[in-house]
Amino acid sequence: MQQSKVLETWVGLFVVLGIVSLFFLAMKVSNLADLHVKDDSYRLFARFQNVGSLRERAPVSMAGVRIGRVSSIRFDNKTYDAVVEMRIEPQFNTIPTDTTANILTAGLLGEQYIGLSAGAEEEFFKDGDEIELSQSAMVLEEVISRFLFNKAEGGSENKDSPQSNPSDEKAGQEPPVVKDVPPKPETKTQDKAVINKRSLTAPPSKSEMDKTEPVHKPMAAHAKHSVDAHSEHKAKGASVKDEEVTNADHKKKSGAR
Amino acid sequence: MLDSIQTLGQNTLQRLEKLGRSCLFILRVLTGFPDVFLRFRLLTAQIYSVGVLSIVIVSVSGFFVGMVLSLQGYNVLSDFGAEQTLGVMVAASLVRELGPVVTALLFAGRAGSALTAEIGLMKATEQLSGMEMMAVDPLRRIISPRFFAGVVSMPLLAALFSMVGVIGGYFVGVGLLGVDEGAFWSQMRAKIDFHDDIVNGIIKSFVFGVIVTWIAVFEGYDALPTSEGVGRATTRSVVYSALAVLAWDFVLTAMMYGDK
Repeated sequence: MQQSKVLETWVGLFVVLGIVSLFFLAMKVSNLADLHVKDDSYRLFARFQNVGSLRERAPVSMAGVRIGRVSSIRFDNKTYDAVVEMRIEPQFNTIPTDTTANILTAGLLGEQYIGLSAGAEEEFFKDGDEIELSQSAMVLEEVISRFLFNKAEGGSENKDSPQSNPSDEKAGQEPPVVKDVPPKPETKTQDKAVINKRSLTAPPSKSEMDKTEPVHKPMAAHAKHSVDAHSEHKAKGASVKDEEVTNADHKKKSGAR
Repeated sequence: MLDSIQTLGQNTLQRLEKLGRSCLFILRVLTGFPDVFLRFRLLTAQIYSVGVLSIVIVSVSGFFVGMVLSLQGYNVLSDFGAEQTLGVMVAASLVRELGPVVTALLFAGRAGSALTAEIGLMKATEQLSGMEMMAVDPLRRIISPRFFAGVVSMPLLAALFSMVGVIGGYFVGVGLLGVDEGAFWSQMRAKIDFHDDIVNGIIKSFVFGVIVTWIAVFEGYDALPTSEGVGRATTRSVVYSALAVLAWDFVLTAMMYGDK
């Protein structure tokens, strides 16, 4: 009798072990459930036009050092952009309020993560604050099509635009961005600079664009439209925003195509 | 010439006859299913000898397999700068393939051979005949509990193997090679689907459990009642189990993932 009790205990342990393994596989390894870990970290929010393939639990890093993780990614029904909630570890509580959030990629095919570039404000973020300066993920197709588009546009309308680009680029660079994560923000700011330039100089090229680049016609038409619509306020910030909207539209279009 | 053809025909008939006997045998074992729960202690004792005693070998091999996967995967993935997907690679290969297959092979070596030898020796020493004399059906008293113990234990052991393997992969990947911990787990969780990967892995291990235990108990029951016959039966049990597991793994994989 004693013997069989020992046996039964062992078998019970075996079954428990098997079930624990299954539970582990279900919870930790697969996507069945996301366990939430409570700790004393604080939350920050950021809005992005496009989060690319950013995932929950992706690292949030500053100067290359991980300071927190993405805890949730939601979609905002009203503004049509993604709201990313980050949990920042409590010891990193001196992040200036003009910090920029970028979605960066680790390696060419690697995972995407959020890189924060510190600003210069004296005030710091508190729990639940929103990072207002954000830069969307780099989607390779968009970057390539934008590059081709710019090239076609620049070639047909303004021959010396490639030479004038570098100076624009320099002007567009904010020092902290360059310092923090060297390779990517440069390309990003270059993008931004080109966008600004393009959106400010776009209207006259209306007919030429259609002529030179029939493949990108829908996108071109769109950019033109948005710039026309908002041509009264040619403030730099506003046009950048419009351009981002256009990109989102463009993406929708290319998805439907 | 004619002789060799005759031998071939004889062999074929013998094989087919054996296959037929094993099917009848498994039917009779399966009809003993209710009895297993009436005499639950028999099942417990068999789960102990088949499952509990295999825990150590399964978890140790799982740990090493996971570590090796992680190490090799890191070398390849780092060429592409994709070390972050190491977790996915380790977990997917463990949960889908290596967990069920390697566990079944180990199980055939550790538990299947023991079952065959035990039953074969019972037959050689006429214990089975003795039971029949006492109007006890040896299939229900001896074979059924062993069969169902194997079928129950295999999925649990395979799950244990996969879990320990993932931990081993984590240990090497994150601990030694410096892959980011969050990326390791988050990519794994994002890419491994509960239904597609984990449930299919469990179905596989269940099928392998049936195959391995079936072969083991049948070879024991069908062994020539001599010491040599028992030895041969044990060898056959392990060899056939391994071949059947690998062949069925291909069939199951083609059915589960083939049409994607």
